[in-house]
Amino acid sequence: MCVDARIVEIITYFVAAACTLGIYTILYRENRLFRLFEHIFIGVAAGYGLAITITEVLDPRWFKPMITENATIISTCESVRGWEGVSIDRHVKRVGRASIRWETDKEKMIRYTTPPPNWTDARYVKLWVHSEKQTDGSVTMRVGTKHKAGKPTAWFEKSFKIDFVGWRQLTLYLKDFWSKGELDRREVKGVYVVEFVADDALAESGVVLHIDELRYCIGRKWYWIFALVGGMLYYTIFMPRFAWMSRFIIGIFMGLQAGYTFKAFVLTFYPQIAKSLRPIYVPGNISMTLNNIIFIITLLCVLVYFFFTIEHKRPTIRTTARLGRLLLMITFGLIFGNTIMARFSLFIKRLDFLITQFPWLK
Amino acid sequence: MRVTRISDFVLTMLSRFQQVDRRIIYVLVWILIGFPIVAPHVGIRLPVLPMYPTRAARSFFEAVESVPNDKVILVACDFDPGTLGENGPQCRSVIEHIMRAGKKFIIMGLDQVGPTIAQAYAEELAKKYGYKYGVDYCNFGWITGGQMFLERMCRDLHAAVKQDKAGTPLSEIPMMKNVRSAKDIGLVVEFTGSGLLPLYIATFNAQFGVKLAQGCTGIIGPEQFPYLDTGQLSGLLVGLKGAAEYEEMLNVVGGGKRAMLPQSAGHLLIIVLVALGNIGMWAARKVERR
Repeated sequence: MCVDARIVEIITYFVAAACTLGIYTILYRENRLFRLFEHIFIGVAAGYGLAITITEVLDPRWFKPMITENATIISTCESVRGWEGVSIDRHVKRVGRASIRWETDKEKMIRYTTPPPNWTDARYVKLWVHSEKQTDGSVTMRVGTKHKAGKPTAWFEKSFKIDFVGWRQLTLYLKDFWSKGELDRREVKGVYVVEFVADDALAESGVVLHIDELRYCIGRKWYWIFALVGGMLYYTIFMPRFAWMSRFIIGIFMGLQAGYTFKAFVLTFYPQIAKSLRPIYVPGNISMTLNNIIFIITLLCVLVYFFFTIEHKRPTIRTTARLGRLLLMITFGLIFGNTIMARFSLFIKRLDFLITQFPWLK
Repeated sequence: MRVTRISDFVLTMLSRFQQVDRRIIYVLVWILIGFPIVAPHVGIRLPVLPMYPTRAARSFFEAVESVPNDKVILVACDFDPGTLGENGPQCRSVIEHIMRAGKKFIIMGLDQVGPTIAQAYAEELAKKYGYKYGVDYCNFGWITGGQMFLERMCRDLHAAVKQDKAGTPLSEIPMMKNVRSAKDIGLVVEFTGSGLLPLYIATFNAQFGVKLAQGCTGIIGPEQFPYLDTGQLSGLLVGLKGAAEYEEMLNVVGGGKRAMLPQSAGHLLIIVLVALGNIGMWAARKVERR
C-alpha cells in the first residue's frame, strides 16, 4: 500500500500541532489535555531513549561483538579490482556471485593491493580455498604492513598445505604468522598488501586454485558477558539480602569517575585561576587596563562576600561585601535576561513551526 | 479635593499593573511574537533587523576559516529537541560555513538525538554544496562514555570508534583514512544546552591542544564567557542571537535572522511589563501611605 506523501505530511503536521497546542494549554490552567500530552511526550522520550540505546549501543558494541566473529571483509573476490595475476570465475564459487581463479603454473604469486589498512585487534584470517586436486605443495600468505616512520616495511607470513580437493575454509591465526626481522606486531601501523605465493611443488603440479571471501576476524568477545553480570549487580540494591553486592559496582565506578573528575577539574579550572592574576596597568592599552581593574575589583568583592567566617561588621568588609553582592545581582540579572531570551527562542521555534509549516500556507 | 480624588484614582489604576492576569501577558506574547512570523505570509513586509556580530561570534567564524585543509572539523551535537530552537540554527549555519569553506567534518554527539538532527542539516546542505557522505563528511552518531571515551578518541580514533552511525566500518570510509587521532582534528565545535564543555576542554583542548568553539543556549551563555577569556574557547555563539550573528557573517537569512524581529518584539514587551510592574509597585505604596 502506497500512501500519498502529501497526506502523510498533513497528518504529521496536525499530530505535531495538536501536541504543541496541547502542551501550551497549561498557559490557561492545569488541565487533563495538558497532562495527556505531557505523558505522551515522556513516554515517547523514554521509548526512544531505550530503542536508541539498544540499536546504537548495546547491539553493535556489546551484543554483536559477543556473538559474532567481528569479521571485516578484506576482499569479496567478486571482481579483479585490486587483484594482480588472477581472473574471475563465475562458475566455481562458494560465497556470492564469483571467486578468484589462480593458475599456479602461470602465476607463482598473486596479490591484492587494496585491503583495509586497519587490522587493529584482528586475531585470525578466514578464507575459502578450492583445489581441483590433492597436491604436496603449499601456499604462503604474506601480509605487507607499513611500519612506523624510520623502519622498513614489515612482512608477516603463514603457509598452508593444499592437500585437499574441493572447497575448504581455512582459519589462519595471526599469532602463528612469523615476521621477517625483529619486528613487533604491536608497532604495525597499517596493512597495504596481501600476497599469496605458491611453492615450487604447487607450481609444478599445475593446480588451479579458487579463493573466495577473504576476511580478517577479531573473534567472539565472549567475555563481554561479564559486563551483564556487573550491570546486574546494580539491581541487587532492590533486594535487601543481596544489597551489599551493589556496593562493588557502585564503588568501582565512583572511584573511576572521581579520578577523571579530579583530572578534568585541574585541566579545566587551573587556566582560569592562572588567568585571574592580571596586571592592573597595561602600558599603552587603556581599555585593557580598565577591564582588568573592573575584573579584579569584582573578583575581590565577590570573594569577600563569600567569606562567611568573618562577620561583616567592619566598614571595609561590609562595604566590600555589599559591593560584591551588588555585582552578583548584576550577574544574576544578566543570566535572567539570557533565560528570557532562551525561552522566547524556544517559543518562536514552535510558533514558527505552527505557522510556516501549515500545509496550505507553504 | 477634586485633584486628590483624580490622583487617587490614577494611582489605584496604576497599582493594578501589579495584578495583571498572567493569561493576558501570554496572549500579548502570542500576538507580539506571532505577528512578525505571520506577516510575510499575508503580504505584509516587515524590515529585517540589522545585526552586528560580536567579538565572540567573529572569533568563531575565524576559527572555522583557519582550519587547515588537511585537518577535519569535529561537530559535536550535544543537544536535543528541547533546545532545538537555539542550537538548531547555530548548528545549521556553522555546517553551511564549513561546507562553503570546503572543509571536511565529522558529526557526533554525547546526546542521543543531536547527531540525527545535524545529519538532516548536512544532507540538506550537501545538495547545495556538492558534499558526499563518506568523502567530505561522516556521522559517528551517539557516543557513550563521556570523558573516558573522548580521551580514547583523542589518542586513537579508530580504536575508539569502530563504525559510523549507519554501521559502516571506519576503515571503509574514505575521509577517515588519514584521520587517526586528535592531531588530525583542526577544530572541535560543540552545540549544547547543558554543561558538557569541560569534557571537551579537559581532553581535546588541555591535553591535545585542539581548538574549541561552542554554540550554547542563552541560559548557560554567561557561564561560558570565562572560557573565552582564558582562550580555552576560540569562539562562542550564545542563543538564537549567536546564530543570527553567524548568519550575518555568512550573508544568509536563516532561522536565526528571521527570528530576531519576533525575539526583539518579545523583549520589548518584557521591558514594558517590567516598567509597568515597577510603576504599579510605586503606585501601590503611595496608595498605602495615604
